[in-house]
Amino acid sequence: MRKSCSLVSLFAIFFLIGAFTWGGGYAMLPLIKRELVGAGLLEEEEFIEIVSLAQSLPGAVAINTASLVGWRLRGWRGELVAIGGTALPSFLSIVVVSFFLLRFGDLPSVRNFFQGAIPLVAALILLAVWDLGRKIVTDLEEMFIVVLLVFLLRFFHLHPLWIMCLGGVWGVVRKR
Amino acid sequence: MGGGTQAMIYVQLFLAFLRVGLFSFGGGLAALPLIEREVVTHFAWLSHREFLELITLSELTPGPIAINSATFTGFKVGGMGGAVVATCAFCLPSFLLVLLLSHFLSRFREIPWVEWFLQGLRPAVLALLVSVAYSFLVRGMNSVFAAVLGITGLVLFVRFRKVNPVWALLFAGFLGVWWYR
Repeated sequence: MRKSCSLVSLFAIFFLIGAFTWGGGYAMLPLIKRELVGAGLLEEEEFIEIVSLAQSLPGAVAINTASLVGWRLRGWRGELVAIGGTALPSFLSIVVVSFFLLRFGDLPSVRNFFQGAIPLVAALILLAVWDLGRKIVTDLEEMFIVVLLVFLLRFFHLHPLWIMCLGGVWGVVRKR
Repeated sequence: MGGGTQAMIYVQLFLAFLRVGLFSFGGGLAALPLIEREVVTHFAWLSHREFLELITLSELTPGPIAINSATFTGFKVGGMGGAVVATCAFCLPSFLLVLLLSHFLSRFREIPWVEWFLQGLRPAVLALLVSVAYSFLVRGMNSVFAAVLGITGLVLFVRFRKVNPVWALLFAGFLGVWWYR
């Protein structure tokens, strides 16, 4: 028998998850697992199914996970509350930061701060490319398709949606 | 700004981030090229520089990057109302898809070609990430100091996986303030 979860505690759980995970998505999964599976609100298999579904739906993985969990536990109200909880910390922190940035963004020291931080973001993104690439590029054909898609995106300015469609169609054609 | 144009901006923000919410797959960084299309190329709400700053801010603040982008862009062009509209628009597809399709979603994934299609999205997500990295390298690495910081950062992140990116970014930011003063 599943324990019940009030809308207020559903909101609180996802607010915490939203507030304490940087970068969203995969970073939040261990926390969700602890808060929901650990507390007996979700079965282990349900959690695995939800995570896998959240990755195949469009949008942010964190928001999809919240939406699926909210629906599973408390229907459409649960969905609203869980999505709101996940988005709110991000929303509030960005509103505060952009309020100041729009006022003081032209100060030289603010410019210089970004000038210093941006190369490190580049390093983080290269790291993400490396991690993902190592996982999914296992043969020359996959290498070729990635290079081709990058080329189409950067030099032919193909819309990202078309890039995704081409990738998906390639996945189907390859298996048939 | 008159009431008419303000309403127009809300509508544009809503449609732009609805598209991002509906058409971005692979989460996080992979959504950035689509967001860039909407907010930099199409509507020119942000400059290329501001877009890089936005991604940097997203790494420094909690929550999903797409939410951060929606709130930031909305706030910049439409104030508090704009921030709410853009953020809600991004979340809407996720809400509706689960609400309307939740009975079919699990079964949907068991169809072989759906699974194949999703598998095929992964190289596409990688291509999108490479494209984001490319933008950063072209526009962010514009001085020797920046290159040194970037390479040092990369070595640090690869060598010590546990380095907290938030502290590393703040540290590099303050180094920047000191170096370029």
